[in-house]
This record gives sequence, C-alpha cells and structure tokens, in this order.
Amino acid sequence: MTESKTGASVGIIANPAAGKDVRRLVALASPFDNQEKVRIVRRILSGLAASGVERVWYLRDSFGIVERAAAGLMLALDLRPIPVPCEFTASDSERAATWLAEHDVACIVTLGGDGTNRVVARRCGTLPLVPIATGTNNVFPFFVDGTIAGLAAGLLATGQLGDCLERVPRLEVWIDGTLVDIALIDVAVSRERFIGSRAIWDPTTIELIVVARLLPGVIGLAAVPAALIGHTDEQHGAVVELGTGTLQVTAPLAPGLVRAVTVRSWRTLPLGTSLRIDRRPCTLALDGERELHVERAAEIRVRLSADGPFVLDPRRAVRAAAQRGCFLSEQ
Amino acid sequence: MDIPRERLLWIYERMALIRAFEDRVAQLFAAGKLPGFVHLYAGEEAIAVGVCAHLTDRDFITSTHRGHGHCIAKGVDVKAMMAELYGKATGVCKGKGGSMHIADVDKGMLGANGIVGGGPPIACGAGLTAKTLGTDHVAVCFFGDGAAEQGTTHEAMNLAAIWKLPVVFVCENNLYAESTPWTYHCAAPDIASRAAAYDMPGVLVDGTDVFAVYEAAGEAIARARRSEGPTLLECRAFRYYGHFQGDAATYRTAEEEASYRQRDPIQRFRQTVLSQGLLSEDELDAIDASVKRAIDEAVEFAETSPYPPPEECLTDVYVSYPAEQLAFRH
Repeated sequence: MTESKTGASVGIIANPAAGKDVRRLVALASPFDNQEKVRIVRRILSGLAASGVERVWYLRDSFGIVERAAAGLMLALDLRPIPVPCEFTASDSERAATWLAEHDVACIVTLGGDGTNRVVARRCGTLPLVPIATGTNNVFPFFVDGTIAGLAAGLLATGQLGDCLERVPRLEVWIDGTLVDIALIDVAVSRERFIGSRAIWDPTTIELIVVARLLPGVIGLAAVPAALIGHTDEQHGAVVELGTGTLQVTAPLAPGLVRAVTVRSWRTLPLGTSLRIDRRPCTLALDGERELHVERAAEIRVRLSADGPFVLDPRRAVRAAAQRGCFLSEQ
Repeated sequence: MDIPRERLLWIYERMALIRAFEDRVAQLFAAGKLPGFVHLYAGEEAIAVGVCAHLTDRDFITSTHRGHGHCIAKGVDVKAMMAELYGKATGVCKGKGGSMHIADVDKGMLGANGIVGGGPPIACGAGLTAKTLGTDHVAVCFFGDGAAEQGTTHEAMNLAAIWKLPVVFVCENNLYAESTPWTYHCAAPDIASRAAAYDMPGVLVDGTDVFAVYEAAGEAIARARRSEGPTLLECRAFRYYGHFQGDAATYRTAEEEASYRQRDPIQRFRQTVLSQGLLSEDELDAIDASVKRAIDEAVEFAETSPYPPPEECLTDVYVSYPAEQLAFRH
C-alpha cells in the first residue's frame, strides 16, 4: 500500500437482529445468521488493517459480533467499544452513529439491510457509510465481500481515495411540521392498524408508495415503481398510488414473493418536492418496515430531500484506488 | 393484520390474568402457603397470549417448568390451577402435580414439565397425532433458551422437519437459563437462525409486543395447519421474578431489571389500544377489576378445598394396568 495518513479510525455498526424477521415465514427470505456476520467482520478488520487503519470503534451488541470476530485475529488494530449505553435495541445504533459523527472517525461500516442503514443514517450526518448487505431487503447496502469493504473503508480513512463518495437522496417524514423520521429507499402508506412484526408484505394493505430513487433489480415495495417507470435521473423519485385501476404491475415485494398489484396512478417526484398524506388513520412503513402509526389530527408530509447520507461503494473505491496505484509498492 | 375488538379484549384479559395470578402466587409462596417450587411467568405474558390467541381447545401445547402463563392463555381454569398449587383435591391434577406438572388435556394443555427440554418430543407426538388423524390441529411447543441447548429440542426439530409435522416451536428467550446468561451458555446466541439447519423458517420476534407475537405466530400456525411443516419462533422477553421464587437473582443488575419494566407487555398493549381508540380506559380498568376478583376467588377456593385423602396417593399417578398384569409385575 502507498503512504497514508496515520491515526485513521473507522466505526463498525453490525446489527445482530438483521435478516431474521417474519419475511422468513411469509416470504422465502433466508435467515442471516450472526456467525456469518462474525466472519464478514473478520474480513472487514483484515481489510482495514491492510489499508493502514489504526483504530476501530464498534457498537457492542447482544451477540458480540465484533468481539467474536476479533478474538484470535492477530491484527495491529486498536479495537474499542463505542462508549454509549447499550439496551440491545435499534436505539443503540442511533446513539452509536451520533457518537461516531461527533468524533474523528472517517466512516461507518454497517452490516444490515435497509432498515439498519435507515437507523444509522438518521444520526450519522455527513459521515460516510460503507453498507454491507446482511438484511432481508438490501436495496441500500452492497452485496460485497467484507475484505473489499474493509479495504475500501480503510483507503477512505487513510486518505488514499479521491472523490469517491456519492450523496444519496432520502425521504423525510414530517408530522405536524416536525421531522420525525427518514427512509433511504421507500415510504409506504398502509391501512395496517398495528406495527406488529414490522415487515410489510401484503400489497392489499398499501395505498401509496413513495420512493427516493428508481433502482433496477430491487426487491421490496420499491420494485413496484421500478417496474412501472423504469429509470429516472438522480433528481427524481416516484409516487405510485395502489388501488382500483386497469393496470397491474408484477413485482418482487420480498425475497421469493412476487405479486401483481393494481395501480391507480403514478408519477415522478422531483427532488425537494413535498407530498401530503391524507389517509387517516394510517401506518407508515419506512424502508419496508412498519414504523409509525398516525391518528387523525396529524398533518403528514413526505419530502424527497437531497440530504441523505454519503455512501462509499466499495467496488468503485477499490477500482479507483487501483487506478491511483494504491496497491503497488517497490520490492 | 386485523384483530377484532373481542379478540383485543380477550388478549388484555388473559395477559392481566396471568400477571395477577403470578403476582399473587409470589405473595402466597413468600407467606409459606404453597408447597414445592414455583417459577413465575410475569413479564412474558405477550408470548403465551399472542400465540394461544390462534389456538382452539383441539390444538395442543407443551409447556415448561414456567407453565402458569401457558395454562391460562390456553384456557385452563384459574381456580383449579390455584388449587393445584395448594396441593388440593380440587386442583387440575387433583393436587398431585403442583406447579410444574399442571396438565389439562380437555384444553389441549399437555402439561407443564419439570424436565428442561422435555416438551419438544411430546409436541412432536401431538403433531404426529394430528397428522395421522388428518385433522388440521397443531401443536405448539413452548421452551426456553436453556432448553434450546438440549439434545431433545434439536432431535424434535429435526423430526418435525423430516415428517413435516404441524408443530410450532416457540423459544421464550428470557436471556437467562436459571442463572446463566444465554450469551454464555449458547455458543452462537442466535436461536432463530438454527431453524435453517432443519430447513424450516426461523423468525426473531419481540416477545414483549403482543401484536408482533400475534402476527408472527398467526402466520406460523396457519402454515402448520396447511401441512407446510414446522416453524421456529424465537421470542425475546424478560422474566420479572427470579428463576424460581426465592432466587435472589444476583446475576442481574437492578438497572437491567428496571429496563425490562420499561417494555412491559401489558402497558405496551394498553398504550397502543388506547392511543388508537380501539378500547377505552374504562373497559380495561373493568377487566383489571374482574381479574382481581377472579384471583381472590381462586385463592379462597383453593384454601377452602380439601386435600386429597391419603388412600388416593397412587391413583391417577401411574397407568392403570389390568389387575392380572399388576399381579404379574409384582
């Protein structure tokens, strides 16, 4: 590796609950076992060490993913738990992201699906994410080997990369004038009464789907507008209203669950546009998971914003590093 | 997921009844009124109730040493349960089973079980019965995180998978097997994912949220009724009392125990249904009052009931062999 800056730090947030929800039962999703996450983190740590990272801050979790990964590895890395209280709930990831964003850390490597990354992105500010897919619906994170992700994060942390970051859009949920939550991929307005087991898979309960981006080959509710509209530029998301109509769209709503949904209307949504949600009461599903139940009085708006997280695509990063000769050295 | 209003009322009444039963049993045991040991279910109500809400008397459940909640959720009479704990003749098992062996076959309750990991093979037997008879009945096997490490549990899951038995395995992971943290006794503390080894769905559920349990269990039970095979649900929750009454629970901190209470399943239910206007405060308070009366009556019934006579010591305990066979055995 080429010369790099010293003292580089990276954060790791690995969600032990990712890849285990009810979609293993109502769809054909695979369980993502935590031992595999341990193996992925081992490879991440190897990549980080090889690229010259000195310190890794990690979120403690109920499984001990990072501690187990580090056990027995002879790497010159200073591993430290992020000093935040741990309740072993999603709030831990938020607190960890907040702490990392406030300290001298170059990026956060996340292990989870769209839901995990949504929680981290709520608090990470402009700190870049290196998301690795270990969830159920994985539109946001990358299916990439941990070694490559570790190398990419390390190259970023040690200042060996040029401008490789992409800022992605986000959907903001405003209730009565207050920003209450975000989504990275989609917001769905559902008639479901209860948050229940969170995941959303029954299209007959959904009235509206708003997506931040149109991405090809995705699984989840975002597959409906993707199948309907195809591709748009980076300045547009889309809105699809489900219900009575003459057009049916066949889309993969969850792994192994392909359904035809009836569409009433659709349109693209320009960046910066705000959409009012009139349905009451309703449940809002964010990135495929029921999160918010809203009663009658509230005003709900969903806004497509350019203020999403900065993301590092590991493959692009490693390719750019190779072009810069980062992996070459004299013998 | 729709839950009819009558079902919501039933869910609250059952959860409140379990809590009231257990809190009263804690007092009675401390006062020296109950023989034997008791293991209390308070804090885990959402699991038993969320699952049993989908079952009829013709469906089976197997239980654990912490079985009172399962019994109540399955509809076993609380007067007869209380009498059983007192060892009285009016008990569910005529006072001979006590807390850890309550069974009521008429309600499909195949028994609490003092053997950790004793329930899963029995659930397979019940599932095989339903399959052989061609009914759409299911067997639900409640077991804990300690039993998750027992060979019987794994053998049962394997058997249920290869025979596609209508069994739903519900692991009540309350984080401690007696006093041992599950992160210590479990090499890979990730019980739901073990289902993959048996080619069945495995789902992690918030066991303090009755709506989450209800939805996931409903899907798993419907799958079993369709003869599509077994499912493993790992429901994470907390027990408010020690492993048994008298356990000082020095293996947990006060802060940890306080954090459990912040996710109390009954309060979460109340908050949800009240905020949505599905049930009224008056209705829930009326249920609380009726539950208190039911427990008062159960205690009075148990205390005024007779003990079984000494000559009945061996009746209903062993299989009733024909007289000639008994003579031969002796």
